[in-house]
Amino acid sequence: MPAMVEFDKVTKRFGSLTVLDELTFAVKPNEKVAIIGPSGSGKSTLLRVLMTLERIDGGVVEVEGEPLWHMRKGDALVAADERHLHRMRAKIGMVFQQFNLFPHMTAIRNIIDPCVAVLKMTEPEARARAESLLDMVGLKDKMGNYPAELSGGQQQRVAIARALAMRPKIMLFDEVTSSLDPELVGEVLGVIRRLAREHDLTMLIVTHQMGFAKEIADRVCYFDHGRIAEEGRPAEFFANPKNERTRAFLKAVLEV
Amino acid sequence: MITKIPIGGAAEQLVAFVGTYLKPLVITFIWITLSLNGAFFWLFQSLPAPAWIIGVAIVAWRFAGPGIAIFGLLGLGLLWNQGLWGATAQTLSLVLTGTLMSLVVAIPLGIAMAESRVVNSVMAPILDFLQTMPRFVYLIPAVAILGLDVAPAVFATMTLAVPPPTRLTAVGIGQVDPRMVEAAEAFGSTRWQILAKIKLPLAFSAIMLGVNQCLMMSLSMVIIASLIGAGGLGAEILKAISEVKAGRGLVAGIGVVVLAILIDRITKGAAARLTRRWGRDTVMQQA
Amino acid sequence: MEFPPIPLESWIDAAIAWLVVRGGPIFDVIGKTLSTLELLLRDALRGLPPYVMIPLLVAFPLFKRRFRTAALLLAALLLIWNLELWREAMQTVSLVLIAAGLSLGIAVPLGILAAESRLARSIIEPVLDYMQTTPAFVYLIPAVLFFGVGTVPGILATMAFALPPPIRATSLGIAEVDPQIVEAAVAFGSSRRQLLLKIKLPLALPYIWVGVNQCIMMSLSMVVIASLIGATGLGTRVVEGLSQFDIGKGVEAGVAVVAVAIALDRLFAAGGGKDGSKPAM
Ligand SMILES: Nc1ncnc2c1ncn2[C@@H]1O[C@H](COP(=O)(O)OP(=O)(O)OP(=O)(O)O)[C@@H](O)[C@H]1O
Ligand SMILES: [Mg+2]
Repeated sequence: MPAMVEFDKVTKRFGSLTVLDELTFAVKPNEKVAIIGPSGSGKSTLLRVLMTLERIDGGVVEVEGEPLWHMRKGDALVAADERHLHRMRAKIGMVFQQFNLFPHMTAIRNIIDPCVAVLKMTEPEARARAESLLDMVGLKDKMGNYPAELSGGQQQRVAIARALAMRPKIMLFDEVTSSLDPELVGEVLGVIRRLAREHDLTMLIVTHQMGFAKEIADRVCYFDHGRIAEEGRPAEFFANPKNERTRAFLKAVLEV
Repeated sequence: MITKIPIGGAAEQLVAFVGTYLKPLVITFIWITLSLNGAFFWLFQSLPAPAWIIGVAIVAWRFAGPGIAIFGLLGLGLLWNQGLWGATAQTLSLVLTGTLMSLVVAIPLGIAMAESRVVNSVMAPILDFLQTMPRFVYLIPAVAILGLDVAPAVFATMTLAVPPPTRLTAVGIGQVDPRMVEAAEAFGSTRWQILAKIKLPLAFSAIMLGVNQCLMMSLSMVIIASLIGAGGLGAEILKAISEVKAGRGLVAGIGVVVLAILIDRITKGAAARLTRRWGRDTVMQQA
Repeated sequence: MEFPPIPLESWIDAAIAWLVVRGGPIFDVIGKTLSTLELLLRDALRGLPPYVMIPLLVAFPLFKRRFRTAALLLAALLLIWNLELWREAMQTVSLVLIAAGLSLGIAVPLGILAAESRLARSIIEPVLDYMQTTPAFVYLIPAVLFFGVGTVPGILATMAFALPPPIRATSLGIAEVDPQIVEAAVAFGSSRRQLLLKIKLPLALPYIWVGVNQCIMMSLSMVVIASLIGATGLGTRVVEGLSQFDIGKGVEAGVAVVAVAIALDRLFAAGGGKDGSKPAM
């Protein structure tokens, strides 16, 4: 089976700091990958590169066998233009740590407007889709509220619905529960859990919730210094980490 | 229609009242402005123009860099060359008089606003009002009470130039980290000591910005005040406009812009220079 | 070591004469357009008598249930009427609205440009710095040089004077939009245009309104000064009061100017903000 996402020796630098260091990494269609690792190890950067929010300095990223940051021109690869990026972006949805809902739009507008503007759907179509998605995340009664009037957990659920509305093939979650109060974490994880079970979605999940990673993921990747230091099926990975640093990291987070 | 509210008449009576009963105050004000303005003007006349121009260029170099220094040399040189040095000196004297008198009012007032809720709640709307009023309107009470010439020009200038430094002083003091004040209180400092030793120094950059704005407002108003008999570059512009002498007006206008840019850049540069050390000191204290 | 004076004045006079001859048709078109616009608006504003106009204007904040605003507006308008300066005030307002409107028409696009393009910003910023250090009075000179005296140079000087604040407000408002929100929109595939029109501009709106308000207030300030070069209205009364030493007349006109300032401020405050959206600022 061809890979859904493939990183081939991808390098990303911020000035003199190398954040992704010749990273090679593949994700199969429908696979759920949990990414864990210490702060600053480049987890967010990995997702942001995939979302085309950060350029890369070397290597090739492919999505469904098609280069993301490049275009094929004859045999050569040339830098992608805005149109190519736009087309590739449509395959990917992202949920952010800070929700990033549009503050000047109600919950339902947050979903309808991107559908109309980007997918060129008609208003009634978009509204129908938005309503069913909000229903799915359990927020049908909050449709008309502005983000500021919703709790963090509710905002994050709207954000998930908004990302799903674009019908992406790949969903990226970047520490989506880290800025939530503890009692709100459950409702958001519940939605993601259902997504993982019921939808054909490739998911990359950056998280600090080890229990959640263990439960939901097909594979866990431990990220350190811009590389994957260790990976494996959750059961083995958590039970018997091979790498010294992985062990230290797991010990530290599990103690908290 | 109900009868016209006699605002005009009331104003005339008020002016008459001020003229009769507050005469000593008015005379004192006129005397102070005339002496200050005279002193500044004497100062400008005491050295030949080239000496002043070179002096300004040196100061500009120190505080605002070589670009502004050359600009000052050329700009002021041009004014002198065009026979406008006298007018420039007159304008500058008025600006300095207006600024000085405005600051004497503004800084204590700003401190009072920061220190006292009551003063703040009384003054804030007054300052708001003064700042939204179109500048021209300030000339009317000035002329009514003080007649023509230097004193009303300075008075009108003060109405425009007092609010910004007052505000900035109050804001600057208000923004001083309360933890620093608490620390000083813990040492047993008096309120007065806290103000003088902690708050004012830490509000210094805000106050300097206030001084800068005060100067700019003064310049703007002193030029407009040519309408009520203030001499200088404004009077030159006014004359040129009424005689439709394009070149003359534009040259004087350029002169005003030269002064504005020099004053603005030099005071901003000086403020940055003086506060840079403060910034470093506070950073070091925190580290 | 006295240098002979550079004959700057005569050079300028010659240059202007040349420009006026060469650019004559352009100046004519600008002048005609502006004066026609101004006449239309002035007639419209004066067409309705005060007892019709005042309720219409006060209805606006009342409609939005802002009773204090409505009361203040009503008081200001009644005062102008009572002082028998309604016609002059309407003339001043028509100049303000034309100048501020045109000024905003230039300023908002420039503000967007300054926010979106680094090159544009590096040009616009210093120009604004110079414009804002230039005292109000000086703006009258070039206007008179090219357009003589009358309402047209008054409008042009006012436009130039009132230009910087809305440019700054617009560009600041756009720059202040949370970059994470922008990123989310990019992630959803918005184009640059959509990003600007649907995300950045709506979120910058509260700032832009502040710019609009400042622009109007500065226009009023300048229109009154521009009475010196023949832009008639309340300012003319102020100047007359000053030159005839008629304190009563001057003070009444001055009070009317302040009333106009309050009325405009309240009216445009009623227009902006609280429109249901709740930008998180
Ligand atoms: N725009 C940027 N400019 C400069 N450096 C950056 C930028 N974004 C990230 N970095 C740096 O890159 C490194 C990796 O950042 P990244 O956000 O990917 O880490 P992370 O693994 O997601 O950490 P965390 O768990 O704290 O979110 C960090 O050292 C960060 O400081
Ligand atoms: Mg991160």
